[in-house]
Amino acid sequence: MNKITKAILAIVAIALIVWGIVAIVEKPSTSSTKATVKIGLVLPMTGNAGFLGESAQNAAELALKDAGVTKNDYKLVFEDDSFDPVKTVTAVNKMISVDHVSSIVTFGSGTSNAASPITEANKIPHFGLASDPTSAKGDYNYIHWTPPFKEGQLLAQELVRRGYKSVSIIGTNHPGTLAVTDSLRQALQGTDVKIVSYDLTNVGDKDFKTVINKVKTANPDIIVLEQFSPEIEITAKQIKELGIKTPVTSVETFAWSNQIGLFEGDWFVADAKVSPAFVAEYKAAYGKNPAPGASYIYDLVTLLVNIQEKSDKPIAAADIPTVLNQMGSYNSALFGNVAIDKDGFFITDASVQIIKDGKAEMVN
Amino acid sequence: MDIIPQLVANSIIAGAFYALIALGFNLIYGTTKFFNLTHGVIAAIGGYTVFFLTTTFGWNIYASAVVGVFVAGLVGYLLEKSLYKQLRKRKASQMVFLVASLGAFTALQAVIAIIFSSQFQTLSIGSWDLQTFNIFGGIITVVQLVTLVSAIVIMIVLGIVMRWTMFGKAVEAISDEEEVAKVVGIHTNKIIGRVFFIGSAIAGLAGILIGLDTGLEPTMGMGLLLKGVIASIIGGIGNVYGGVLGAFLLGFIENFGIWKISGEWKDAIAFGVLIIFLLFRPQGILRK
Repeated sequence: MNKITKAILAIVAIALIVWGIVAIVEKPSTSSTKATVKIGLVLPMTGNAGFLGESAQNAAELALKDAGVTKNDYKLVFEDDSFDPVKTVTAVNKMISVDHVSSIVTFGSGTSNAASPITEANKIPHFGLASDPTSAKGDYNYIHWTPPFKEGQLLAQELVRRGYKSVSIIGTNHPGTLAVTDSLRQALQGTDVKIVSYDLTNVGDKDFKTVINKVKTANPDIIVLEQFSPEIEITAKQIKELGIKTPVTSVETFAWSNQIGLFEGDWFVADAKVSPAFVAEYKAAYGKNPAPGASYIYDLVTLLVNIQEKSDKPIAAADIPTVLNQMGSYNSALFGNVAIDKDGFFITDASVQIIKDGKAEMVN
Repeated sequence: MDIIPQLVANSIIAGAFYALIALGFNLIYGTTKFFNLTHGVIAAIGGYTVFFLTTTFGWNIYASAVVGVFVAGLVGYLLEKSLYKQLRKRKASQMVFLVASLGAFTALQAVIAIIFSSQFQTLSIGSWDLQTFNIFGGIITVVQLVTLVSAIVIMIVLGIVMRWTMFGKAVEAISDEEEVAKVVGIHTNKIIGRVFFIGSAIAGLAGILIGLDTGLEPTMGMGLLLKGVIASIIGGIGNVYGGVLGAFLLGFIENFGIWKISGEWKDAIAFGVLIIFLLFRPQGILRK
């Protein structure tokens, strides 16, 4: 035997030993009869929206804890996408091919839009915390977030009720905020409130002075800011710098700001009202209020656990949409009765909130 | 027409920020003839140094700004000594320089994100933050005024240094032909090192002022660099005055461009202008 043959035999022997060890270690336990159901959550754990991902992760874990003793074992698989759709695609592919999850939850319209074609092709139920209806396209995609038409309608009603006659909108070229601003523009048609200026900015822009200038010239009664952090904070700062005293409002985005104090005293339309019991429980567990989105994550994990628990045997991923469609609606501990419409939207009502002492509070 | 004075002010403010980036970039490009992509992240380093000193040690903003400018200059100098000088020794191609600077850019940006997180941060000058001046109907903040004055002063000083000092003449000689400059006794590596220090320090100042005006994030460098490069190409690449001219022109084009159309078109307009210049006047308005 020459040296090369010996080396090849040694490598083959080592490979066989390693394979044997891995096979023994990975051998499924026969002592437990419980099936394992994996739920994948792709969240913005880092970056400007990191606080949202952290809160969402806490809510998911809390939901699992609250489920108590269960028939099946449930495992939450977390991946970070920093709100970047490219990272969402990588995370979703990994969850499907490596983790073999039975359902996937994503956070944000852009990221959910990136995930939905993959989940549809792989027949994995996907729940996006999104506003853009594109995320719910197909048989396997759903949106669990107050629909933009509900939020647009409520903001239009509030503007009329509060006696505003003209409004300027500063929006963002992003599917989620575009869905909201489009629904607002639609809802304002036929009312006395006129849109006197409408401008879009891009995510990543830092200089909004000229856009604000156009708003100043249009002289609206109120400005609607539909931007994310940090653009919304920069815009608010530049509005002040330019000496504009016009009140500002938004759909959701004040609550998403990481400098929420900038909007102290401003009212806005937000997604569904969160049950006080959930807020209290979350606060007791983590020492702070849940961030936007946490309640939907809690509700989704609870729902997915409940439908599995009610079934005699674990429901395969591909069959979950059939179960949801047959249900048509469910009774949520957080949102009351939630209807699941034919377009894949989980219907919840929008709410009016105000920033008070640096926190978003419900307006009665 | 009430909008015009503020539009002019906005254009001048934007131009001043772009000018600070273009000044340093043009100085380095004019001397070494390569696109130093790290210039953008050096601006971020200046801003984050101030953020670190003010938040961690409670330093005064002005002292922190001086250190921030120095640190940015030092990082640029060290990059030149440890990376670009070695590449020059090996007679590396322009492509190698570009890729090396891209690598350094990405690495430094990642380090900033690791140390400070990718969270958006702001710098403050306390009660001066919201102090504004009304100049001919256009409102301008203290930081924006300081930026404008800094850009003009640095341009004048650089112009004088380049025209009237031995250092300026040495830079000119290296810019014309480095090998010939060596032959006539110019210590080229020393001069290029100083050029990197000065150019990077100016970028650091830009980063600090941007941090005060809007805020800081680790990824801020690429956007700044691109605007600085566009300004340099429009005005005349490698020309100190050209870069400033291009910067103000870009500021006016961007802000007046979105007067009647949506603000989302701002970057499209800036890059459209860049393409037009590259096609029809690649040397820019002012030749080197």
